[in-house]
Amino acid sequence: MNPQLIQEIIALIVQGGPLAFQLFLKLESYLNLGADVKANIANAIAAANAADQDTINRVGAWMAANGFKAQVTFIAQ
Amino acid sequence: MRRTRISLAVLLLLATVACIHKTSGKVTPMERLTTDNAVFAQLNNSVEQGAEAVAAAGLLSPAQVAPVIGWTGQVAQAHQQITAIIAKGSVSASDLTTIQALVAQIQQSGIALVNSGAIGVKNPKSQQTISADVTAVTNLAQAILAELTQIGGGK
Repeated sequence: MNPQLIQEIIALIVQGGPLAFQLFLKLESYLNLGADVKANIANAIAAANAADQDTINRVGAWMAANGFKAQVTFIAQ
Repeated sequence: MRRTRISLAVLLLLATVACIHKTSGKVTPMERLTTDNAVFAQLNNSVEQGAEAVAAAGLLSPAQVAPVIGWTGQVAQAHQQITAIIAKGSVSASDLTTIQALVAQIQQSGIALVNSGAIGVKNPKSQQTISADVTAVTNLAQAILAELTQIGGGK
């Protein structure tokens, strides 16, 4: 890891707190690929699906907890 | 100061997205596409978590952040469809048309959300304004579509 990146991470922790750093670590984990092309693709697909499903679950839980009966729809289905 | 923080977060994000590391060999177009696709899903997830945090901190009311949170849910649903198509490994002309329509929906709804003007509050998750986050999500969707078009839906 280069010194500039370390400085940027430290700045991010100071300014953004643990939540921003958590996002950075997550993205870093996606961006470090192994040698196996098929495994890399499979892992990336699984990561995308997991993140999307987590988002959908969180949205449903938050909407229900805050008294919203349905998602506020911006995308026509 | 605020601008500096936003610039830092944007630069860091761009630096990480642009920099895919591999232990050996070259990064293939399909690896790049699927990695950016995963980054997209994670960024959208972070927007959702950040919007929740903004409401929890009392910076905006639940009614004000509900459109943002709802939007991330809709984006995630649309993106699941895009990921399912990409996961097939080959994309037909019909698939590409479907993805183009989904990306267009994400972009148009994102622009509508930004133009609503109620989301210029900083997302503690990304340290950008939520408005900037939404714009980043829509831009990344366009980038993924461009990559997909460039590789012709192949591997």
